[in-house]
Amino acid sequence: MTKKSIQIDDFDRLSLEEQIALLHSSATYIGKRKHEGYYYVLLQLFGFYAEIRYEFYRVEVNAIRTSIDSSIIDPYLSQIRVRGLDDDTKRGTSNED
Amino acid sequence: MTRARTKNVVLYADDDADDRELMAEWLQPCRHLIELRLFNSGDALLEHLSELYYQDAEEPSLIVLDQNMPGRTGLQILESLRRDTRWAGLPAVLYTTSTMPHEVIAAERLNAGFITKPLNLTQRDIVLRQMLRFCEPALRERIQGFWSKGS
Repeated sequence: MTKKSIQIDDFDRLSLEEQIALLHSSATYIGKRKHEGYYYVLLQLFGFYAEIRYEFYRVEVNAIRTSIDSSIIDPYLSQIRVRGLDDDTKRGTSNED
Repeated sequence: MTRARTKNVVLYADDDADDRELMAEWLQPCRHLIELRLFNSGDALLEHLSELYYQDAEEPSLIVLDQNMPGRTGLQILESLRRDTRWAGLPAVLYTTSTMPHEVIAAERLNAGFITKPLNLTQRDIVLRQMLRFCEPALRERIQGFWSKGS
């Protein structure tokens, strides 16, 4: 069940529909955020990141921005959970929704 | 004790409120066939299952579990389900943002489906049809019949 990798430049040349299909089949979810009326979902695909922008979440993709710069993760850091650490932390506390 | 199975109760646990709302919206056209019950954690879903059992209520036709939830993951909840003889045979799917092969395999070993959450409406239709494959057969037939009428 290996996945064939793709470089960021090759990904950027794909159509939006092709990009969405590839992200759905192969990307790793990192996080979701809301900003100025838009939803953003950040995914990692092989050696780069892809950030999806939605006006309507999971309905229609408005744009996809790609980057190899890990600073794209910064707005999502507060919600990234490391399993194990999370398990230790949650003891005695209620889970957030 | 043999328990009658309800044809239309679906239980869905997801810590993401947006995803819970979306599922409710997407299943709205089938509301006469499906009663969707939402939970913000897998443990809350398990608790509800126990209540159903003690109330002698009908069993759900599908259990949908998000994988990445605070506390126990969807897979961990699924393991609990399968260890319990009361729930071992219930139809279930892991519904997740993940595409991790090891999670796909783990779900299959637990006799559950693995469905990656859709990124847009086109994928949503595919995903709902994938989910249907794992439903209790009678509900599956009713929904397929409903969809084939083009409603």
